[in-house]
Amino acid sequence: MKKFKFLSLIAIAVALLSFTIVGELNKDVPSMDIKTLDGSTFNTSQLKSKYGKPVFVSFWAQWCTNCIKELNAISEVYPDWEEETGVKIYAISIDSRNQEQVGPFAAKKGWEYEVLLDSNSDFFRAVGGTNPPYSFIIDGNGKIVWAHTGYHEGDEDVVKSVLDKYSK
Amino acid sequence: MRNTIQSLIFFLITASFINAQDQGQVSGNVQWDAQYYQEDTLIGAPIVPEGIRSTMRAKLVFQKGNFDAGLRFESYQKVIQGFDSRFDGNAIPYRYAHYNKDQFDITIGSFYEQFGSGIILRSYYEPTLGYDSFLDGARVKFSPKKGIEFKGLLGKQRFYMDFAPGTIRAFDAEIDLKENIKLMKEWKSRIILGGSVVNKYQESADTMIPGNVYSQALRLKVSRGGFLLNAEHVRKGQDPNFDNTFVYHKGNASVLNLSYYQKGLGVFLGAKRVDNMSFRSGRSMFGLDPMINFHPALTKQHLYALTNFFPYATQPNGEFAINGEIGYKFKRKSKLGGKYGTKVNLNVSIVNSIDKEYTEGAINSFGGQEYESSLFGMGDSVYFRDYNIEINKKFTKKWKGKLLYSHQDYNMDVVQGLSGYGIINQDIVVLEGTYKIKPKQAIMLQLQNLSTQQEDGSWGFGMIEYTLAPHWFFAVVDQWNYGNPDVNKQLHFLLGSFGYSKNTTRMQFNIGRQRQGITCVGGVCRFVPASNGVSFTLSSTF
Repeated sequence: MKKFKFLSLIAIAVALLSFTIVGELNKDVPSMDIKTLDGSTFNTSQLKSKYGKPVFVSFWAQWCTNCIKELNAISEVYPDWEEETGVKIYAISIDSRNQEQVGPFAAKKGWEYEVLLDSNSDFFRAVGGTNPPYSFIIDGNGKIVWAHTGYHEGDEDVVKSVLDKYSK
Repeated sequence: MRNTIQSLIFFLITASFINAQDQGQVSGNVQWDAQYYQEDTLIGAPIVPEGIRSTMRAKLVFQKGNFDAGLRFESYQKVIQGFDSRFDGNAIPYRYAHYNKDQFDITIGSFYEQFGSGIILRSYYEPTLGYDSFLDGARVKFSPKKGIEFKGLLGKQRFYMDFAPGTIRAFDAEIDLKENIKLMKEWKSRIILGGSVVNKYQESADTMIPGNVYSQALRLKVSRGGFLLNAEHVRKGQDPNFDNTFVYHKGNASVLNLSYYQKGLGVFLGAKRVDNMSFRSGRSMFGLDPMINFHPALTKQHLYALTNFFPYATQPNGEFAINGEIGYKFKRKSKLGGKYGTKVNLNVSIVNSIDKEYTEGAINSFGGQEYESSLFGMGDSVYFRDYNIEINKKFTKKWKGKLLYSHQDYNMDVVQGLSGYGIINQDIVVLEGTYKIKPKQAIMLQLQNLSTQQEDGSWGFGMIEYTLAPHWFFAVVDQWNYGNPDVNKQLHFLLGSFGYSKNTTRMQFNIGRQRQGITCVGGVCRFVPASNGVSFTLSSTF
């Protein structure tokens, strides 16, 4: 009986939450100060690409295996994405410890993203992140139009298809 | 903890105000964790009378222009095992209103904050640990020009469903000299100076126990190209408390980190010394009770079940830690890089006690003994060592692999507050291979082995994970204590998982056995009890 109740609760929750599985968003980017790798201030209103092209923002941490897999996968195709869509990618670290290790970590992986520091997860919470990996796309008008959580091998193709849509 | 009706009224009035001024924006997230428990005497999983336990958190935020307000509803019916049972019932513990324009940023209500590395002050939220130390009161940030920022705050810290007894008042100032000194604008180097003062007041019936405790910090950050230096020194006044067995010895901490990076190469060297820096809002608090400050671990962040079997937890009463790391990516098509490049990483951590010269006869009723300690001295007691090498390589378009070797020495008595266990020596190997069947289908096999002659002996770990992008994953995991000296305890911990995610919604089921262990985030650890059953997690952002 308890198992049945448990499963019923789950089914109700899933049904209710299915209403939140939205495709497109249209949210403002919260404006707040985070840090660059050298400690200077970076306001999140500066998360922009050139000429109205889309921006891809990915929250990651050195302890987040799937975050690293996602950023490794995208780093292999980033030059092609830049050429085809004009995208700029920001990789925002929510590492709370040893922020001085974030730059070396990204460098040894060969990532060419702009790496920023959100060490107390203020911006991560403000955009609604719960667990990383959490990424979102900002269109040329400065609106968050797409977001996703988690990573599976091949998810980068979904990201590319969204970038293609917003690069026109 | 607080009047739910009052909070809802406050929030609705704020939301109406925003909506009355044209469109606002509503966003938020929800996370629900539930677990069904079965007794399993073989692994020490007890009967759980409720059968099902559940935790839910839902956050709502209204935002319009420079103004936003939010709240977080929490429901513990009962809290998942392994989390503190003082998380109980329903409440809206977290709610705030925030305004920022031009040079000012003001928050009233609940907020999180960090000064520098956090060793003097850090209030943060880590739900996987059941840790939430937000401050409730008011905070003002003032930035008269770019590169100068002042922060002032006052409030009480969250203490489960209530507030801690102490009141915190704090001030921080930071100046980026490159932005503000004409001469330095042309320099390639950037120098950032910062300083903080934090005060905690807790009423004291005992005239020998100070009600006011002050802490001060200075920090310096210098960067030039790929070089970065970060130095911080913190002092704390007399603060007799449960953690330090009520001694009057003043506290201090020093951090020095150096790093260098360029594309394909990252080097880090860090040292941290802590002496009596447990700083809490209540002097009788301990364990995972909220702290005013934060002690970042300076050991490697391990990512695998068996490399994290005996995870190191930072010792606020005293530790001297050194960590060095070098990572290099051998280029594509080079001799050692191969067709796709090869990444190699070496990491060494050393953690010892600090030097302490105890004062004879100065032992109090809590067993605490006064001592003297030098500013930068290291003690002889080994707390933790690890030596790691990791290689990551992509072999073909479809195949990639990883190999990790870690040797760890773990002082179980010191880290877990026990006696008689000594130092556990372990050798761990992790081997992982991923095959991309099709562009959106992949299968991963991961094998781990932990060799030790101590405690429960050696362990093996195997995992097969199949992913179907962008929505599904399926995994089967087994942990096997094959080296247990008692043949009847050479148990398997078999666990199946599957999950579905779409955009910002994610669901996951785990079915099977969870072994007892410790989970840590950033050097702060929580005990995880053994369990057998079904667990469910649902999270979504909207």
